[in-house]
Amino acid sequence: MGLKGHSRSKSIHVMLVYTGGCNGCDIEIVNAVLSPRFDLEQYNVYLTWNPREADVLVVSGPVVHWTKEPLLKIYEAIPDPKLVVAVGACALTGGVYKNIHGDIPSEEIEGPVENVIPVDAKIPGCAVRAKDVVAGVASVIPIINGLKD
Amino acid sequence: MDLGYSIIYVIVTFIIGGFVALWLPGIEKKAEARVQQRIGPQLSSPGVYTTLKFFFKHALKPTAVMPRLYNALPIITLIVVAALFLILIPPVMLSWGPFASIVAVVGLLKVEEVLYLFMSSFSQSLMSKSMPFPDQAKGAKHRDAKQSFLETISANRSLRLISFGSLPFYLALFIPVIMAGSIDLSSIVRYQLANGPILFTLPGIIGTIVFFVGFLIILNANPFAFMEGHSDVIQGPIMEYMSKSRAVYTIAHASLIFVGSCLYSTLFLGIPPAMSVSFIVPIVCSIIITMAIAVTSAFAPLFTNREFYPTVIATSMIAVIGIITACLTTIIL
Amino acid sequence: MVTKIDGATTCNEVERQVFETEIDMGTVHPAALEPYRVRLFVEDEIVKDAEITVGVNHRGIERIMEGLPVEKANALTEKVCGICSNGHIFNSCRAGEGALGIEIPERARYLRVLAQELERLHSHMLYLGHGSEVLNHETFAMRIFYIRESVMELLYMMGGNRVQYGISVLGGVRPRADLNLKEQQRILEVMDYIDDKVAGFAERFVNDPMVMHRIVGTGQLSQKQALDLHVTGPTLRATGYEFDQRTKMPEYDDIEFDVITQDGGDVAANILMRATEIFQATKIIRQVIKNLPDGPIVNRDWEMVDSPVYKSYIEVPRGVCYHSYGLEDGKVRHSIIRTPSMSNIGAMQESCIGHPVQDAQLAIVSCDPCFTCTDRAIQIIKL
Repeated sequence: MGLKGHSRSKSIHVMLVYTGGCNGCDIEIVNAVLSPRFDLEQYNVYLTWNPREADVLVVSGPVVHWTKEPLLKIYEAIPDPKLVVAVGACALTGGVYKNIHGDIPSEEIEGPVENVIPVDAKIPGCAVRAKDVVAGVASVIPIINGLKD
Repeated sequence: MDLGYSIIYVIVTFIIGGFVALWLPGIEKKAEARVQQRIGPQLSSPGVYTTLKFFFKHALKPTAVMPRLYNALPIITLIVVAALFLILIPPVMLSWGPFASIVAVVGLLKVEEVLYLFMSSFSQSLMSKSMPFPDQAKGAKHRDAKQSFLETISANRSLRLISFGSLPFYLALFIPVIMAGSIDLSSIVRYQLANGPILFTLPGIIGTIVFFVGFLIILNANPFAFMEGHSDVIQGPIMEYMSKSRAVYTIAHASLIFVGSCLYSTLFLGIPPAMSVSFIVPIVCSIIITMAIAVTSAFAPLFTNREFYPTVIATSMIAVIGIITACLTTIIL
Repeated sequence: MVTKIDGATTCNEVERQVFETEIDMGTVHPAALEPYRVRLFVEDEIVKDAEITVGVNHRGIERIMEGLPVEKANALTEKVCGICSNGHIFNSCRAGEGALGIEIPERARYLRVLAQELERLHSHMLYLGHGSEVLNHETFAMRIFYIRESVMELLYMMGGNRVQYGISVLGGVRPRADLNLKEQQRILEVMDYIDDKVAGFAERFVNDPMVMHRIVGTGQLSQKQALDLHVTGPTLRATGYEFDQRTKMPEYDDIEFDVITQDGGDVAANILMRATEIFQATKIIRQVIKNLPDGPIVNRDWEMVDSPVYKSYIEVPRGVCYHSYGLEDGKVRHSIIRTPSMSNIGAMQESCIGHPVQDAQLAIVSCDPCFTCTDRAIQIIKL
């Protein structure tokens, strides 16, 4: 892929945006980065909180109404080329909040994430396991390698 | 030495220096990871590949007060660091005479610090004030307060660093000056060639300790990283840098570690970064200092003002003691 | 600058200070990890007043529960929070059982307590890790996350999932969550491991002069303030007030444990509080395993009936959690969930006043916020 793709796949900055939901996926993702047992940094993946530095936007949660706009703004703030990874059942389908209801459905859910921003990869699970996060991010690396400008 | 040879000498030294500098962030990350009992990234990843990756990214317009000036600031930082490296190279050190002195070193580092103030006052990142939030008025206790960006805190802190935070570092620089009796870098090197490295004297040991603490403050490394501490200001001054300007910033920061180590080996070991076998000494110095920084930052929490003031005062006192011992040594000898 | 603004019609004359700057943090912020906003009113980097605004993460769980059969609603309550998920499903099952008059088998009761205490372990360790992370001490965070992983594996073994394990069902526990002797043995082994490792961690934490200097005296909350603000859970116990809902729960009747209190109410007391509670939790788990009775684990002998509103209070890792159910023909017609973080918001706001901005974040984190649970109503707290 040349130097461009090679350097991209050797240094990946991941930004985590949490758009509602139950916090479980979020902790598992942070766990995947921070726990020495999983240690995403060994695949040269770094967790960042600055959209300007990020290459991969990891979105968890069903995109609750009030987090839609921040999500869009953060997505726009990331310079190209960028990837979006949706993590967890809520980000993929809207989760229990959107799909299970009694008499009245919830009107707060804007998700799944696909409705708001284009999604490149999906990691399922409720809550997603740290192992799956590591596997998912590792599977994104070849995509990053082949990214066009 | 004729001019052409000197120019080639300087260029080659710069290339070697730049090559070494780019590996230092990797060494830092790896050492930190090993302390924390994990594998950590590849040695090449945080320095070399991160820089390359950022060069290949597309730039957007940064949300800053003066976007173009803001984007130019890392380049100025790089130039300042390069100038600092330039006066340490032996031919330049000899021929530029008065400019290649400790005063120039202090001045250039001061400029480097001031640039952080500019960066943090220009940057207006998305992550604080401009983050869309549904209801600003909800339960507002103080409606009249002026909203400000996170970077304003960083600007305050960088002012604090400029005004007194870096004092220990500059005091440590003056210990070799007193020992050698001259502010010229070349005289300091010559003194050490004659009398052995300053490191192996009592003031030299004190100076080394103070130099290291001061260097941590200059570099905004972990215990003193409150200008870019991620628990409140996220990344502070460098929030809005992206693509090429962030790559330049990465290089500038990595080179600052390297140049600081070269400065140390010049002042305390008497071996400037010359294009010969002795270049090994500054390189080894830089690797040791980088690993020491990584270990310190792995074992220390972030300092707030409560810890920062006493640390600065204490290290300054130690530096003053070092200076006094240096004076006494010169008088006695 | 102090200006007086007329309190106008609603309240008495209010003296309102005008501060120069307001610093907003959130809704996406590394120290928070959850969507909420902290508004710090700052003068010269010292926080003069703070305000925490929640409501961003409102998903309307209580509303979508209306009309669901109570078993399904229970499963939905688990999704209130990813940290204390078992606390919610445990409490909602308790409320449902109370409303429908279901007796649960003795073994199921023990297994529920076991799951609840395992959750307390992982939640307290998460707290310690998050606290260290906000202190910017990554090494401590990594270490405690490493220890926490063993508890996560136990939960995975018990419930089949690492976060939403869903141990309790109406009438008992899921058959999956039953423990055979080998699994019980493994739990005991892990408890020994945790006791050993956490003791080592706590010793290193307490003996680290830099860390202790940062956390001692930071985020102080007096006992009177805490009681005025209706703070619950470990945050209240860290101010020296002995209150634990577990002492009033019939589940814990034949289990011996101490109610830990700490003096001071600062971040150090809070952290020590959680660290010492970990040992109490392991003690409880050992007793549960030792006394685990034989017998069925689920009672299927019940009917859906109408019931008045039934209330249930339990102690989850963060304090007292309240669930209530009103059922009509087995369907949920009324449900209210009140989580401990709701009560603790006042403590978070009060404890960060008078500190630099960095310590303010630390003080908020030291109250163990979980705003995902909390986002459902806004309560006005008056001092």
